[in-house]
Amino acid sequence: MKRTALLGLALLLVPGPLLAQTTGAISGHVRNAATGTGVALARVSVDAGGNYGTSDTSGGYRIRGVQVGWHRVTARLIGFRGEIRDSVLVRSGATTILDFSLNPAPTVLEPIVVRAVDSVLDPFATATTQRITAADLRQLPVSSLDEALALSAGAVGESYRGGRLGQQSFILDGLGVKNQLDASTGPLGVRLPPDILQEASLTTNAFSARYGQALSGLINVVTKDGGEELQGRAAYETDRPLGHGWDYGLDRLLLQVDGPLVGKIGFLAAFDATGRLDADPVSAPASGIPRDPRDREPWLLPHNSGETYDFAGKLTIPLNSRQTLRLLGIRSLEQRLLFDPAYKYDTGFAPGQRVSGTLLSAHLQNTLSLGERAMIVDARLGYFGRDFTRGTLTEEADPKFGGFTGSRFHFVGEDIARSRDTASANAIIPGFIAPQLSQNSPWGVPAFFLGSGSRGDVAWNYFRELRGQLDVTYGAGQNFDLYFGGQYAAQKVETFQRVLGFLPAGDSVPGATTSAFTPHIWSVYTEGQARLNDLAFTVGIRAEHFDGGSSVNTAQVDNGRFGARTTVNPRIAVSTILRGATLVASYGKFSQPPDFQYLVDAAFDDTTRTGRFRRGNPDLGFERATQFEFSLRVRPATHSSLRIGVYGKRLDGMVASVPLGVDPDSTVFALTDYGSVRGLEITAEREMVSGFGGRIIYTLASATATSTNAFQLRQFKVDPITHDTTFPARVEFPLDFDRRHSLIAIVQAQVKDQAGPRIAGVQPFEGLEAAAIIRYSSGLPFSRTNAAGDTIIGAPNSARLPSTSTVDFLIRKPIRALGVGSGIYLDVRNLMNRRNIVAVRRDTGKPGLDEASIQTLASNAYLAHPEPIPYESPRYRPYADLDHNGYIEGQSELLPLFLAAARDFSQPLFVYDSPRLVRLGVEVLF
Amino acid sequence: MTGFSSWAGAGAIVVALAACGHEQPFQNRNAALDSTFGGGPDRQLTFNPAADVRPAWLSDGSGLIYSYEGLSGTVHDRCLAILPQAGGTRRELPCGTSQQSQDSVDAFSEAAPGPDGKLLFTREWSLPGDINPRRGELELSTVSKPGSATTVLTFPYTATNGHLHSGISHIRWLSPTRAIYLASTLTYPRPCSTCEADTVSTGIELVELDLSGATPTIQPIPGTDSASSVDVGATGDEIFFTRNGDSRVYQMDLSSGVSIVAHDFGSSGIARDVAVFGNQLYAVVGGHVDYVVDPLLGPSQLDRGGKLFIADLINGTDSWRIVDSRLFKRPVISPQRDRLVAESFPITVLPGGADTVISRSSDLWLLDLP
Repeated sequence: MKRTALLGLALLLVPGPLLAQTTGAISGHVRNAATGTGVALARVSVDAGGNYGTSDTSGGYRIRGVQVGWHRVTARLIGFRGEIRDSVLVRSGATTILDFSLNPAPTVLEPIVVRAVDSVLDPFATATTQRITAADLRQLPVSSLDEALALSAGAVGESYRGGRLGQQSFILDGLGVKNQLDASTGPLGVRLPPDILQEASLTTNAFSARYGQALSGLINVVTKDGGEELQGRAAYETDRPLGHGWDYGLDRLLLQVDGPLVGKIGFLAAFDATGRLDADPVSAPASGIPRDPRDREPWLLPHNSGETYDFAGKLTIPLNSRQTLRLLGIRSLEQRLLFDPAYKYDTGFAPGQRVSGTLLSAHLQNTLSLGERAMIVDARLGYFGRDFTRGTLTEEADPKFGGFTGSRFHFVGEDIARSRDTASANAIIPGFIAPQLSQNSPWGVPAFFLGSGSRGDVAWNYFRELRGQLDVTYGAGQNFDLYFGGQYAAQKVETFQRVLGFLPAGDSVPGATTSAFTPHIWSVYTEGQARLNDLAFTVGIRAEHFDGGSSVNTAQVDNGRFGARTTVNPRIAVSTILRGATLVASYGKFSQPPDFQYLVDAAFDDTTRTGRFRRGNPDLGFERATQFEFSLRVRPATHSSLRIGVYGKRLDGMVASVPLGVDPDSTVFALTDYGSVRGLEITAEREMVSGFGGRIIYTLASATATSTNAFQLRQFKVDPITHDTTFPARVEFPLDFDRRHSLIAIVQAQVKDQAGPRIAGVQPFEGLEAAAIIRYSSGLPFSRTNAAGDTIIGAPNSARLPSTSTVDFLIRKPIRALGVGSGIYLDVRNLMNRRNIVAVRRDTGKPGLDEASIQTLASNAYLAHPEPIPYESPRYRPYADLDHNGYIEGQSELLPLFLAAARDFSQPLFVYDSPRLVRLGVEVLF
Repeated sequence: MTGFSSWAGAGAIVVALAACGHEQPFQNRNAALDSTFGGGPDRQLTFNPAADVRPAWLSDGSGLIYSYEGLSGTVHDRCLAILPQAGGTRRELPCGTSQQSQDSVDAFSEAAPGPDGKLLFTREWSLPGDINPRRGELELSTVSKPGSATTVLTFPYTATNGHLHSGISHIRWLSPTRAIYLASTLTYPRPCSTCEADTVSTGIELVELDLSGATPTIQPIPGTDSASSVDVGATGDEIFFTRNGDSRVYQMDLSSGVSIVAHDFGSSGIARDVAVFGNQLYAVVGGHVDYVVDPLLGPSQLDRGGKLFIADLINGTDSWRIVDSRLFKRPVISPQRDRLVAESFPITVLPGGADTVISRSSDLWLLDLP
C-alpha cells in the first residue's frame, strides 16, 4: 500500500501525457535536502530560463511545452543553494521526472547528469508509442526513417496494424504533413535527412485528439535545434569496391552542420544525396538462358537507377525569454528510371518518374504565465507542395557519376499535362512514337519486347497545401490539464493522365483525364487529462471536416456541392499501476478523408487495381476506424522491460474499386467495405548495459474485410447438386496487409574503450559497435485467379505468400585522430542473401510461368510472325542461322528464338525482395 | 587502429572509393554485321524475301540508302534503311508508320542523298484494296535526321505545261539547291479480267526542282518528253537521260537546252536506268521490257529488268556484264567508282525452256567494277 500511495502521490504531481507532439514536460519535486520536506516557490527553469515552473506548497512543479531534446534544468530559491541538472532528456509527449534536493546554502553546484527516466512504468504514457532516436538511426542497419519505423510492432513496411498505405499521418515538428492526393500509392514527397532527426515515434493506438487525418498510425518527428557549438557530420557510403554481384552502384553523401548563427539564433543545415544504378535491386534467380545478360549472375537491372536529393535548413530564433520562433525548410527531389521488362533492350523508351516536395513551416511558441498556472500557445503555419510526373523522358538519362545525372528530368507531353490542356492532349501528343517490336533483343525475333517508341503514358499531379494550426496547452491545476486548438488547411489539387499518347483519343483509347479542385479541411479538438489516485484519465474529442471542393450545378445535390463531411471522434484512455505494472486501456474513433485521387477519373494502367480506366467518385466520405486497446508494461528486471498489448480495430467506409456494370475493365470508387483488425503485440527489451542490449518484437494480427457487394459480380458459388448459382451477399476476406506473424529481434553490442586484445600495440576492437536485426514474417495474402486472369478463384486474398526472413548487420569502428572523431562502418542487408518472395503471379500462384505456358507464349508469337529473317535485317542472329543460308527461317530456326524470348520476357523479377546489399561508410564528426 | 595512421587509413579508403569505377548495367551485345554474306566479285547484299529497291549511295560512299519492304503483318510497308558500304546489317530509318496507320501501306522510296547531308525521298500511302497511292509527297530532310522532314510537294499534280505528274523517281541533285527528277504517269493494266492489276510507271518528262527560295518551285525541262531515266554528269549543268522505247542515251546541256545522243545501244534493246561516271556510262538494256502505246492508256513501258551494260563514251563501244540468271534495274555507281549496286531479279527458266519466271521481288547486288 505504501508503494501504491507513493504512486498515487506521483499521479497527483505528474502531468498527463502530451501525446505525439514536439514537446514534452518536466515534472517533479523540490525538497529541502536537510528536512526532506517540499519547498514552495522554488523556480525551476529550462535552459535560458524562458520556460519555467514554480513549486507549490508540496514542492511539486511542472513545466510544459519543453522542446524535445537535451536540456539544462536549474532549480533556485533564495536561501538555498541552486542546483543545475545537465543533460536532461525530454521526449515527445512524455514527462521527464526530475526531483531536486536543495541545500540551504547559496552555492551553485557543478552540473551533474540526471538519472534516467523510467518511461516504461510511466502511467501517463497512454499511447502505444515506439521511439526512434538519432542514435538508433546511426547504430542500427537502417538508413532512413521509414526503415527504422518498420522495426515497430504492428508495422508491415509502411502499413500499420492492418491499415493500407497512407492511413498514417506524419507530424513534423508538430505540424501535420500529408500527401492527401495519393498517399495510398505514392510517397510523401519530402524526406528528412536522417541527421536532422532528434527523435521520431510511431503511435498506433488512441493517439491524442490533437491529431487527425489518420487511421492506422501517427508518425511524429522532431528535428534538432541548432546547438550552442558548431558541430556536424559528413559521411560517404558506397558499395563500389565490392565488385561483381555486390556492386549496385550506390553512392550516398550526407552532410550536416549546426550551431550558433548570430546572437542566440541557432541554425541547422543538412544535405543527403543518394544515387544508385539499380535503385530497386531484386534477388531474382538467373534465367538459365544463354545470351540473357542476367544469366551469369544476378545482375543489376538496366534503366532502374535512381537519385534522391534532400536539403533541410532550420533556424531557431529566441525572440525573448518566453517566445521562440522556429523556421524549417525541406526540399526533396527523387528521380527514378523505371525498369520495364518490355523495354529491357530499348531502355531509352522505358518510363521515368520525378517526385519533388517542398515543406516550409514556421512555429511560434509562446509560454504564458497566468499566476501559478501556465499556458503554452503554439502557432504554426506551413506550406507543403508535391509535384509528381511519370512518363517518357524527352532525352535519355545520362548518369554523370554512378546513379547521379545532375540534371532535371523532362517528360514528353509534360507541358500539356501541366497546362491540363485536354484539347491538345486528346490529339497525338508530339514526341510520342508508336512502339514497335524490338530488334535489339538477343533473340532478334519480333515478340514481347518493345522499342522504337514508348507506351505513350504521361501522368502528372500537383498537390499543395497551406495549413495553419493553433495548439493551446493549459495547466488548470495539479490534477487537470487541458488542451485545445484547431487547424485549417486550404489545398489545391491538379491532376492529368493520358495513355497511348501516340494515338488520338477515341475508340479504344481513353481520353485524357484532368482535374483541378480546391479541397479544404478543418478540425477542432479539446482534450483533458485528469488524475484521481491511482487512475489517470484522458478524454478528448475531435471534430474533423473535409470538403473535396467538387461542385455541380444541380438541384439533386445539396448546396450544389459534393462530399462535404464532418465527423466527431471521441477518444478516451485510462491508465493505472497494478503491482509494478502499468495497465492502459484506450478507446478512440478516427477518421481521415480519402485520397483525393479517388475523387477524380483516372486513365492509367494500374496493374494493382482493375483496369485502364477508373471513374472517380466526388462524393466519397471519410474512412473511419474505431479502436480499443489494453496494454501492460512491466519491468521484470532493472534493465529489462516487457510490453504486451492487445487491440481490436474496426474499419468503416473503406475505399474500394468496384466494377462498374459488367465491364471488368471499368470501375468506380465507392465506400463499401468494412473490416476488422485484431492483434497482439509483445515487446521485450534489454537496455544497453555492459556492452549488450536487445529487443524482441512479436506481432500476431488478423486483418479482414467484409464486403457486402463489392465483388458480387466476381464472386459466386455453384451448388454441386443443384448447380444453382448463388451470389453471396457478404464476403469476408483478409486485407492486403494481413500479416499474421511477425518477429523482429534486434541485438546490439559495443566494446568498451581500452578493451579487447592488444595486437601490435593496437586494440583493434576498442569501441567497436555492432548491431543485427533478424526478421521473420509470415506471408501476406493474395488473390488467385484463373489462367485468363478474369475470375478470382475462391475469396479475394484467400491464398498466402510464403514467409520471409532477413538478417541485417551493421558494424562500426569509431576512430579518433587529430582531435577529430570519425569512423568507418559496414552495413549489410539480407546478410544470408535469402531469396524472399514478396509477390506471385495470380494465375499460377508461383513467381513465374510454368513451362507449358511459356511454350504456348512462344508458339503464339511464332504463329504471329513466321516470316523469315534475312541476313541484312537487324533481327538476324548468325548463331540461329543453322543452315547458314542467310536466312533464319522455318520452325526449326525461328521457334527456339521465340522460346528464348518468351522465357526471357516472362522471367519473374520484382516478385523477389532485395538481394544482399552491402555498403561501406566513412564518417567524420566535427 | 588508433592515431594518425587510422585516420589516414580512413582517408585512403575514401580516395580509393572515389577512384573506383562502377559496374555498369548490361549493354546491348548484338553487334551489327558489316560485310556481305558471301564473297566474290558479284555479291548479294540483301536477302529480304520481299522487295529491296531504289538503292542510292551516300555522298561519302560509306553506305547505301535504299527502300525495303517489311514482312511483318499483313500490310507490307516500304521503309528506308542504310546498309554499310560492304553490306551487313541495315540501319532502319524512322519510317513514320504508326499504330494509327497500321492498316495502310506506307511507302518510303526514291531516296536521294545530296550535298550537305540533305536527303530527298518520296512518301506514298494507300489503303488495302487501293490499286494506286492515295497521296504522295516529296520530302526533304537530312540523312542524320530523316524523321524530321518537310514536304516539298505533293503528287499527283498538274505541271505548268498541263501534264499530270502522278509519280516521281530517279531523283538526282544538280547542286546544293537544285535537283532533277523523272515525272511519270501510272497505269494499272490487267493482263486478264480476273488478273491482279499491275502498276506500270512510265516516264513523262524530266522536271527541275529549285529549293533555293522559301517556296520550292518546279519546272518541266523542255526536250525531255518520254524520258525514262536520268543521271547527272560531271557538272550540275549536264544530264544524261533515256527515253521510253529508245535504245539511245541522250546528253543535254541544261543551260542551252541542247541535247545530243551520247550513246546508242542499238539492237541490244531499250535503254533505261542510266548511270554515268566520267566517260563510263552504265545502263540497263534489253531484257524483259515492253513498250506499247495503248489507245486508251497511252504509252507505257513495262520493265521487269534487263542486262547491265557499260559503254565507253570516248570510243563508243559497249558490253554487258554477265551475271547468271539475273536481271537488273537501277544501277548506281559508288563515289569511289569501284562498285556498283543494282536491283537484281532472279530469273528461272522452266524445264524445256517453255517459259521464264522473273521474280517480282528484287534484292540488292554489289558488283565490283574494273
